[in-house]
Amino acid sequence: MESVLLALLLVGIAPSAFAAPYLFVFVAGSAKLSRDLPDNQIALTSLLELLSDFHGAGGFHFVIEGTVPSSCAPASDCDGLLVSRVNSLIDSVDHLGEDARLSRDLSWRRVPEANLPADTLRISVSADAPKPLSPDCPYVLEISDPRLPSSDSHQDWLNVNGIVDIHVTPAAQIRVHTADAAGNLSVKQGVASAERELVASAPRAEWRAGDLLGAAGIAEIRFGNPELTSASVPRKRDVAESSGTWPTGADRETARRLAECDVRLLLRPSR
Amino acid sequence: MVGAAGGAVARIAADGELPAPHPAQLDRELSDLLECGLYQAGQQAKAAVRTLHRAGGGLLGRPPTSLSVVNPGDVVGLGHENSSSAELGLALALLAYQSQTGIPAVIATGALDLAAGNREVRVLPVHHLAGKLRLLAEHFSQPGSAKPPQQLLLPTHDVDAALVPDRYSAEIARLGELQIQVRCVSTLQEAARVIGAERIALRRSEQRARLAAMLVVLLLAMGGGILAWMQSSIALSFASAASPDGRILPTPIRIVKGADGARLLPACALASGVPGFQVHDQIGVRLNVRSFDHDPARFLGGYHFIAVSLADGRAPHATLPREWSADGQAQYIWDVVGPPGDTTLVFLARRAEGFNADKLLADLIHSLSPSKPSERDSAALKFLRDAAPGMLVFRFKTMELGSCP
Repeated sequence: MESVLLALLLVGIAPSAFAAPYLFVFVAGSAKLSRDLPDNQIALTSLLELLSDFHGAGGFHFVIEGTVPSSCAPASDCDGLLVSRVNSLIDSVDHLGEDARLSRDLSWRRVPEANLPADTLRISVSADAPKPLSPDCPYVLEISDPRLPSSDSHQDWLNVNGIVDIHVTPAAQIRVHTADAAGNLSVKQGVASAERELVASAPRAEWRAGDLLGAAGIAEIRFGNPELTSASVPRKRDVAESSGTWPTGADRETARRLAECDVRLLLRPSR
Repeated sequence: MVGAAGGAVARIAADGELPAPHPAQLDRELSDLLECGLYQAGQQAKAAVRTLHRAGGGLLGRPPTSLSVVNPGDVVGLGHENSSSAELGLALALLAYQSQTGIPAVIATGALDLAAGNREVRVLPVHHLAGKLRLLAEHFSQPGSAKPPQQLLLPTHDVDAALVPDRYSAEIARLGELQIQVRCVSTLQEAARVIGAERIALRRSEQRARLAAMLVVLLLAMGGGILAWMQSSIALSFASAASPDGRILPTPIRIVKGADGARLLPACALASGVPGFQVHDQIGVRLNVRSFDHDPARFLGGYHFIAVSLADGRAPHATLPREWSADGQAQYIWDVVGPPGDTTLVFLARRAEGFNADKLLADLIHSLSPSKPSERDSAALKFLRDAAPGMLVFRFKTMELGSCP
């Protein structure tokens, strides 16, 4: 009994970086992915959610990894079998997904046989060079979510940019810092019609998503420059909405420094 | 009619409302019969009706049916030996309610024999039949008595093996004067048919014939449905393909062969917006039918594909896919050949039956013969649209080698 209890406790406190498997199983020698297998169904559903949630996002992308087993007879077209399996997985994504473009967010690569169970394809994450959240937002946001596949470079933290809505599980960690790793930032969370200050002034901030997500499963987060109040100069979005134009010259520089970025964390239940 | 000697007329009602559970856990459908000593007869009747259901192939549902004695004061102190003559009447009450016959009431006397097992339920003679018939005539002859039911069901023979119509002709004649028609029945099935409970009374052979007729109708309906479904539109789309360099690219795609193997590249982007392919390139196409999991097409011959190319100054050409799967994927690779010009590729898909390329082309060419050259393209598309429920069109420009921007 003790060993069981201990195992359960260990599961409970496992690090958030423990990655989801995203493994697709093929019948030996078959090029076709069987969508009838429960494990494949779960992995496909999870992959579709990932592709949908991070469509248009920069900072990382999803990669199909496959291998040609050494047992494959030399006379067989083993490379062709691998490509056919990748195509079959893509077809399944297209078949089940609502947007055919989702599968094009994927790439694929061949990996050594030792890295992958036989007759499987696996999804991994490949990290790109970190970028600020958007051209107008000089802050870098990174997440570490057990929902994400493991990174090929074994990175726990993945940069996310180019999107405003970020889907996370409650166990996800989020951190923000300035793009040039210099200066401080302030962070607020929108709560009802008010704002709650999470960080007054610090070079970096980090939270667990579960601590921010409310009962509705949404957390609105705003990053800004702590030296200037958002009340003294209008935010970019306010300016754009009121005049339709963005200030030029010195005003633009001021505005850039003042830039406040809004992101929204949306709850994805843990599987 | 039950009881010894003079006996009594027990009026039995059947309805769908069960009484409260009996403290002795008796069958709720029959527990109201207990006080009058008819519970055992009710069990026999219920078993007989169940036998009839089984003989009918079990296709008919049996709603819960409660039996009760309407005149318990007239029926008291019956022993089993005196109550068995009520079995036929009780069984008919059950059947009449479960079949919802139009006959509101029927009179019967007769015991039931379940010894024949599942095959049939025989109606057995009862004692004191003459007395019962006289009692019945007196009962309905009384001043102010209710109008009697029109049917009286009796066993065909009495306990002495004499035919009832012959031996009891006088009693039967008197009942006839009261508008009561006597029907002698040898089985419960026959009795059920008399009271219009035919759905249950059907013999097995009749049940089978009716079932066969239903199956034929069902098959015809299914056949019509399948035919309509076979002709229903197929959502055909271009699928993506895994490039050797790791990218996932939408097709149709250029396949460029080099010393280091083949490369997959997007089509040449032309100012006109029409994709371009160079002579000596190959065009790779992957097609996908957007179907649902467990699509019956997979089990009914699957999906079939053909591509027809329509190019300026050249006869139409039909190509079957290089690879295809019954559940709706197909793959084509063509060599791009000159001369430069516009080409239209028309992909067709249909279910169950493969394409005959020669016949399709012959029919197409025949249909185009009266068309003017300027109308041939649209006429060909119209013909092909009618030729299959799935169609996808791809237009491209063939270009000279080295002219891809």
